[in-house]
Amino acid sequence: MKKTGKNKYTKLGCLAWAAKNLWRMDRNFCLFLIPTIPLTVFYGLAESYFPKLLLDSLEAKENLFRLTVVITAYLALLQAVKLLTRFFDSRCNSKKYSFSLTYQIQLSQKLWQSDYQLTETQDYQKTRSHAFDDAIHGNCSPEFFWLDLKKFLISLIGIFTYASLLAYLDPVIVAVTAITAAVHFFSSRWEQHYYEKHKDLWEKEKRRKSYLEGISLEFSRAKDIRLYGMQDWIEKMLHGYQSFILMWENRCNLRGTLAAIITAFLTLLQNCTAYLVLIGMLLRGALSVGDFVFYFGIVSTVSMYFSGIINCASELFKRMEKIRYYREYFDYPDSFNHGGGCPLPKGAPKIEFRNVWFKYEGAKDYTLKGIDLTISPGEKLALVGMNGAGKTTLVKLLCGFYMPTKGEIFVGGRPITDYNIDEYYTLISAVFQDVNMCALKIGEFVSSAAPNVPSARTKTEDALRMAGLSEKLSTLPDGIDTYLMKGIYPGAVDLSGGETQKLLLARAIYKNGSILILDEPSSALDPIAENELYLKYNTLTHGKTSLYISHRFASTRFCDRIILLDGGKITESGSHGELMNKCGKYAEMFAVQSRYYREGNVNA
Amino acid sequence: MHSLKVNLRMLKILRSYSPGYYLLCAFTSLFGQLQFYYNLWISAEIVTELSNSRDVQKIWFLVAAALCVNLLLKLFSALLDYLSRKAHGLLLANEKAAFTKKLLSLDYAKLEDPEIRNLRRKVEENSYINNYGSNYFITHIRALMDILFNLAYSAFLFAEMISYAAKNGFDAAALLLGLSMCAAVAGRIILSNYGAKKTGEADKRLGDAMLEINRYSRGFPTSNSMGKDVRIYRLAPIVEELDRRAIDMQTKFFSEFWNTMFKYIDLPESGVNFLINTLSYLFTCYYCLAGVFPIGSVIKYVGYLNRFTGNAELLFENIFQLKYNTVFLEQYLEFFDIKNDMYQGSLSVEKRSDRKFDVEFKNVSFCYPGSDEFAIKNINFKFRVGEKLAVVGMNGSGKTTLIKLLCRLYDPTEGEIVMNDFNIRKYDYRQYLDLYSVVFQDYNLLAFSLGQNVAASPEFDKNRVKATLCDAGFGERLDTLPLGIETPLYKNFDADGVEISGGEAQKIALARALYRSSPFIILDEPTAALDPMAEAEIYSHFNDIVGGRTAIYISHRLSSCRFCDRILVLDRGEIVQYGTHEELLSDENGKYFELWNAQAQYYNEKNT
Repeated sequence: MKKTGKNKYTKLGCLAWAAKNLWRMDRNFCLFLIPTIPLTVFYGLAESYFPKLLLDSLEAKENLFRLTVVITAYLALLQAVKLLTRFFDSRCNSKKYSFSLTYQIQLSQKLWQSDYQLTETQDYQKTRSHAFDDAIHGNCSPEFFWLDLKKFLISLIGIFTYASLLAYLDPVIVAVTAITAAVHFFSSRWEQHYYEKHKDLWEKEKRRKSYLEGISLEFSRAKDIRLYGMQDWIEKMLHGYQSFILMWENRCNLRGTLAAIITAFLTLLQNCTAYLVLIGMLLRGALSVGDFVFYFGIVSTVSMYFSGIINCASELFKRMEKIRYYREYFDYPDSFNHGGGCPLPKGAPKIEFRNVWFKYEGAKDYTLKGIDLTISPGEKLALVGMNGAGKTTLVKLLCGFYMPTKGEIFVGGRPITDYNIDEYYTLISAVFQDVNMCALKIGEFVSSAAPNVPSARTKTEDALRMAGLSEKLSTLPDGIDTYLMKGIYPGAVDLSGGETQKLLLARAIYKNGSILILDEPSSALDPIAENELYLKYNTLTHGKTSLYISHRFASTRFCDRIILLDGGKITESGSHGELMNKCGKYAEMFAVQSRYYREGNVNA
Repeated sequence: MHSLKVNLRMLKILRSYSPGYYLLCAFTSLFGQLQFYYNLWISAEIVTELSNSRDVQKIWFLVAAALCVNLLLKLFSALLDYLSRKAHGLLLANEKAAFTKKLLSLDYAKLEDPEIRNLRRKVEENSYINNYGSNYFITHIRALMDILFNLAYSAFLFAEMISYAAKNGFDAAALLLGLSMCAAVAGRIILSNYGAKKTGEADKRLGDAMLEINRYSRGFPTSNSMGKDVRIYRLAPIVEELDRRAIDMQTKFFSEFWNTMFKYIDLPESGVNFLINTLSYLFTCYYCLAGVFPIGSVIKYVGYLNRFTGNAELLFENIFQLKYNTVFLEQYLEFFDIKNDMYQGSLSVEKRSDRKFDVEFKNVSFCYPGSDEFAIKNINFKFRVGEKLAVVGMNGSGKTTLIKLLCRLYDPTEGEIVMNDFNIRKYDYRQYLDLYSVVFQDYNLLAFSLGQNVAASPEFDKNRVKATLCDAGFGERLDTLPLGIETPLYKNFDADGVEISGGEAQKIALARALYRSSPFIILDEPTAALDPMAEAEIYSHFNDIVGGRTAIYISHRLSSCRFCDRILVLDRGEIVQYGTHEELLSDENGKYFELWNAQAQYYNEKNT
């Protein structure tokens, strides 16, 4: 469990950090929480004392009226304390889950604010999943540390009061209860240990199981599953995982049962001692019957407190370990400039790659090898090349997602790192190849506006029209207020591939950044829509420096210059005509693609 | 009556998932609850003995009995607990499996039906996120057993108490106390029922709020790939705003819930409890002082009365909650009751080595469930065996719908599709589907091994998998994979897994279609993510790849029409043109001419 070199976050330090956060998040919560601790202990004690009071009075043949007064007053007090505790508890309960959400927000915000490049590294992902995994698991998550802390303190105060009462009577009982509690602790730890040791085994299967269950839920998978008859396969796999998980659950249960059996014997030992000592004293005349009942009750409570204190302490330690994961994640350092930076360039900027090399983490080879490229302000550049030539990597570098391994990228005359990276992003409008949808309304998705901001409506509609989506929108009853992603909100739609591309384009148009990057924006469009995009390209790029990546060479006609990337290097550069005359790779690729379009011979 | 029927049906269904579960639960309750009453009884005996005669031998005998019986009961409970947990695990597992199975076996058309989709969403949200429906039922039935056994045990003690009291006769004071107790108990039951109703409502509102919150998080995946969009389009503030709203909403409804709890449950309960406790103490003390009850009974009867009234209240609450849950159970059962109404024919499909399957669309029209617009209209068309057909048209012209009808994912709204003289509905569904290999635009691969993905089954013929992967153009990449066709796709579960690019995924999907060697092969945009060289490779090998099969090729890259024998042009759901490339191109007013030129103009040397 101990990790060397991670001493930066001590357990106590983590406890203090979590407590400080809790105080900062909600002071009232803390104020409601604290009084429940003494109240709980007091209630327990007062409740155990009542039978003694009653039995003593009955033995003394107290008169009925006095007894009535005592009973009523005492029970009223008990009830009042209980009600007060309930009240404080209900206040705390109202708020307790908001802490996990608050942490979750902070966790996801951290993910969005970290350097993008960092988020793809293994170390970052490990740190992140440590922090995330625990945040998601409700009650086990570290932000519930106060539950353990509360129980710990209750047990602590309880032990002091109860054990001193008992020790005054007979220290042997205290010793026996302490020993049984210790044995109990070790037996449950043995059970826990077994669970922890093997947890990964079935956790993995559980993840596979929920992956497959998720697949059975997805609409988009349903066609493949049915046509290729994969139902039996999926069910068989699920059944296999299930049996495995159940088998391990049973094994753990078995340990739990054994622990319960040990506890049964321990209770026997403890009660046996209590009976022996207490009845012995009673027979000697040292105790009244009321005392006997009172102390016997106390023995079982104190043993509960003993186990409580040990369990809570170990739980608390575990939570602190997890709090450490949070802190490690929150403190994960960035390398881009996220603070104040140089003012952004106005208008279409000039972009310069100066001998840029880039290598992915863990890769042997460089993906980009010495890129030297200058894009003048307002220039329309086309980027072509085979799958895997490094086109998308180049885009990511320009977007400020990656930092070059060697060399530098200048935008508007300064290295990207001179700008505040978060401000730098505002320069860029991009359509990426991979589609990441979220369940927003169409209008919100396009305008990236916080929901229900009306100001941007017309602008949004313009962008959608420009992208060629107005016809589709007119078929939707809720228009731009229709939710995306079926299955989440009622009435939501899934757009087809072509429509999705138009939607992404609309978003880029709406943003109107001074650098426009389109990575395969027309792969799912029909020929007419594709052609329309080409014809609009001049308007779209007006006043912007732009980069167009496509496997469809028709697009290169609308660009000022074409760059061919091959094996991470720029091998050809020039206008379509120039490159065709060069008879290089570009001309070859163009010929291959256009062959079928030219009149006449088709014979391959 | 109706809700009883629904609940009984659920009981029966769950029993089939885990036989013996209820019996085990009953035994667990039997022994688990016995402990409490036994301890009440034996400690009363001990106290009485201690305060009265102090017969040492009897005292130690009682102590020994208390210890031994407790030990036995604990051991027994531990054992029963183990067994019932096991049965419980099985119950939950089988219940979930049944749901998944139902989803997998539903007709595609049903799956897409908006009404059914709505029902499904409700079941998922209510039963699997908010834990109403089956889960709620299971926990409440379990609790009901505890309550019933409690009440049964208390009945014994009650009889004992009454018989003791009867010895003394009931004087006015005792009657008064007894009657006020009855009144208090009745009050408690009424109040708690009212409270349960109130909290039930608050709980439902809280549940709905939680669903909304759940939607936020499901609707915005916190994944790495999302990171690009988030940064460029500044989505983080939106997410934060949504999250903040989620927190506010959660806090609001949790506060409301706990306030209701406090106001309608805790507050009245503590008043009534105080009353009942005081009365029962007074009652027992009264008889005790009169010398009717032994002194130990003060502990016994008060504890028992408390438990009895508590359980009486719980019984009503539980029944109320089970009734409340009925509406969710109905949803749940309604989902399981959905019948697949696609006709499952019985005619077996001939195995023909000549692959001569003549398929013809006769006056076929179709509109999607829940929509009143025809996606395709009046299609009359005959597929020619062994021919390669290109289907072209604009986005939304009905190309994919045509394919879905052909593969019987849907049945036509009007008209019929006929194969070898019989309506395709007459054929055995599974066998009929086996005739088609389809690569849809939105194909999906699974995070299993490459081989399993290609074969779409856990076992596969290694050589054929390799061969088809090579045919699909994946051969080069396959050679670079150390684990070959055993390589797991994606890194979801395996560090050894490989992430594949869009182009590679397309090739694997193509290989999967080829592996099936069925007489029809249908490719929907199979080269969208491929570079020109890879695309050209597929084009030029298309005839080899497809062999003698009937092929249907859908693509926005009209160059693909050149190696297909004939072209079908769809426009707004109707066939507008059909013929060879040359024939169609000669019609300068035709749709095909327009589509072709939109693309070809840029490749035509004359325009350069």
